Amino acid sequence: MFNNNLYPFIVTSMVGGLLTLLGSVGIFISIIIQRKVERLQAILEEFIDLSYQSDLNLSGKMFNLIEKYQMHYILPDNPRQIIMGYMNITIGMVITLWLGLYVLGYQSPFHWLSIIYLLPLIALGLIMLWFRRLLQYLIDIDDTPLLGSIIPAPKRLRSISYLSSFINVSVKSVLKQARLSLHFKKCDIKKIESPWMIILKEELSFDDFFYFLVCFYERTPLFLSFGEIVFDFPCDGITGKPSPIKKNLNIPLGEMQVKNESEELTANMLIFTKGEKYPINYQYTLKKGGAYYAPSENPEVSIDHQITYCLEKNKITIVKNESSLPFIKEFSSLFKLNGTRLYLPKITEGKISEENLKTSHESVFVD
Amino acid sequence: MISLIDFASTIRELFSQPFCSPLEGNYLDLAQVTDLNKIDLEKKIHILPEPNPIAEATFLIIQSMKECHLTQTKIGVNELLKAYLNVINKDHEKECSEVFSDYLFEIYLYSLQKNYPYTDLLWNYLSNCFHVVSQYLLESGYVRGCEIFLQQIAAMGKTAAQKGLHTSSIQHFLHTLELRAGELGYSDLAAAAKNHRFNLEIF
Repeated sequence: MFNNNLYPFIVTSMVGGLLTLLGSVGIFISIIIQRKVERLQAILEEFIDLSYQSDLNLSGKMFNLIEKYQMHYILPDNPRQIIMGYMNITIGMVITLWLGLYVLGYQSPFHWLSIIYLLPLIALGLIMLWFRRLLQYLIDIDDTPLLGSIIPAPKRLRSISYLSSFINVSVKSVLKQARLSLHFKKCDIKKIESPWMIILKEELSFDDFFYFLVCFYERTPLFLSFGEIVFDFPCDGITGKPSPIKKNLNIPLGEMQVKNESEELTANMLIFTKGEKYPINYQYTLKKGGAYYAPSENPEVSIDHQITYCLEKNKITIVKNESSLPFIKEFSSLFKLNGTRLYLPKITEGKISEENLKTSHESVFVD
Repeated sequence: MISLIDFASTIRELFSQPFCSPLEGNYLDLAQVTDLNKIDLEKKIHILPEPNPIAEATFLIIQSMKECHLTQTKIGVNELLKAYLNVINKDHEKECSEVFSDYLFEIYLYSLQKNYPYTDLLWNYLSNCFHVVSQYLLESGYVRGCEIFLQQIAAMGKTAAQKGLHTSSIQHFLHTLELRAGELGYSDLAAAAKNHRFNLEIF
């Protein structure tokens, strides 16, 4: 038999040992996280520096940087589980041992006041759980708020609104790398009367902005579409890798019905982002070739100072509009940031109504 | 320095000579021979190479680049591409495309030199030319030629992207070409164009 006087001290030293180990695990994790944060911030800084050089072609580099960022961002699943398992067992053991000490030191008869003696145990138990939670936050950086403000999630780096509102980069130069371009394709090549599918192409999938697009034949508007562009890329189905950014993305904006097919069309697209007050204006000239329309040259991109907007409760409010673009006033009440894309398939002369608006349900695809 | 007109006429004169592939003729090229024992070395060693007007024209163009005469270079490239479109026919579609696109690549490689100031401008000019040339090749049914030409463009585009030059027009024209090729029923060419487009900026 053990000495009854000595045994509680043995248990106490065991608890001390366990707690020391737990503390060192905390230090170990924080060292890893510190290195990670440093690494991520270096990449982030490089990425931001890139966005100031608008005259160079950087889409390849940006893509690689975001992929690299993603690689450093998450900890592999298996070690994460091991660390969590270790912490669970240690904390469980410590609490059990403490309880054991209580049992050893308990002397009957039972008195209500002795419950007060249990209070430190409850408080310590809670603190241990908090500690566990804190370390868990550090390990699972992707879905916890603790580090989100210091190092953004990789998918944030493709968000134009994030880049423009939290980091002072030029939206125009970032969008230049995204290379927004328009394509009109016949839905069914065999049918002459088939409607045209309007596709917005992005060579690099920057998202989180609001667009307003009007297509013209000479000065007559043919098609109108507006909405918010937000992507949600699930992990790759085959390799299981997360994909924070993609290339060669096509966004179907809607279908256009036109009777007379002309050789040349023009289109104006406004891009509204959070953190700015003037939209960016893209002007396209599209030429017909077979069963498609494609831009004949690079679009003219400018900041449109004739329109001023602000964001209120996920809604774009046009403060000032001196632009000659039609329909902004009529539809501005519907400029909501809710991830939907609305379009008017047909614009009959002078008559437009909100009831004719359709929602584009087709999902984004890579092509 | 020679005037633009003289430069253009010299180049045009060179290109007016009939096209012959550098592989033709009796000149002994060691790189092309597999077994020297089978060849009568004594007899062949004295044969001079066939005249190669394209190589000479390319040299002239590169000379103009050394002098940083951009207009001359542009005229030269333009004449080279026009000569290509003039010469190409169904019989030697492949050789012709290979030869011309190789020389074009040489010119392009020279333009990447650090001391050449007009890399961007020449690249933009080249990108604009590529579009028209390959569209013509496609519409005239030179599918094999177009494929070879595209391959070389894609190689140039890839290097350009690595150097930070804009490839949006190349990417965009590859897409247009893909659509058009699909419409005309050349699915292989369309697939090749798509593949080039997807690989353009992977490095």
